[in-house]
Amino acid sequence: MNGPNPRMSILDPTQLTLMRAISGATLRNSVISNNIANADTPGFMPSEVDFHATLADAVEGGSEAIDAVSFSPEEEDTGAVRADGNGVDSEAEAAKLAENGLELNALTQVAQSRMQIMRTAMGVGNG
Amino acid sequence: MSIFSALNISASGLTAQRLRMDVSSANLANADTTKTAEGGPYKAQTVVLQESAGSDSFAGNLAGALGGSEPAGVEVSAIIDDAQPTKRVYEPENPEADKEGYVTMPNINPVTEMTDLIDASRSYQANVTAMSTTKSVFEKTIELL
Repeated sequence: MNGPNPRMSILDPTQLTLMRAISGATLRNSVISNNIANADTPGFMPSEVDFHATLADAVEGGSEAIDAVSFSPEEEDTGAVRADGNGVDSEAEAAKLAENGLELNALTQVAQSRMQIMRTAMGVGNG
Repeated sequence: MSIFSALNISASGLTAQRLRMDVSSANLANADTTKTAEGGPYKAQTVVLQESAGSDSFAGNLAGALGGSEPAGVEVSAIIDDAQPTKRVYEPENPEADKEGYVTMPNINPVTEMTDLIDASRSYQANVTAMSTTKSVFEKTIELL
């Protein structure tokens, strides 16, 4: 993404970061669900999305970098591997899913509140 | 990336685990079946699971075209015959008995089938939990927007 982005004027870097964090957490939700679905697949290794680190790096690079950020799941090298080569720890995945869900809720709530402030400033009212 | 892909992933897990339960139930039900359409005793079936390569849906194709790797859940690659050896039981009065009076019984171990059944049912529950977590998060999100 080169050149000025027209969205920059409306979405400040914090709001943009929140949006990217939401999409990162949504992807992480899918990846953890996938790990749980494949808990009985022989040879399957769980994946994880470290969207916090990717986003933190992008924040250093300013708005352009945040706008262009993309997340990709990476296979984890877990220590515990069953006889069939599966490395999924169902309990740990369930805990991660719950944690990620709460984080996703918090992110949407903050994003929504900030959007509300912006709407008030624009005179749109409570809509 | 669709927000509903997580639900589809959990659904694929539910389908796979349900099939495992069906197959284990069929194995248990046929634990003493000595006669089948193909001849010989019933052979124990095993479900082989594999990670889904990706859905053929619009969202799946779009993600692929954009160079992203989307998790796509689990699928059943095959239902194969169990390689366990069959056991021979001395039952001369059985019409399926051979000249020496032995009947070839299916290679089914009810204890193994029961543990498989419990395992599949626990995995099913794990997928249900994942699905309801995803659902409540998305419900909350939609409420806020």
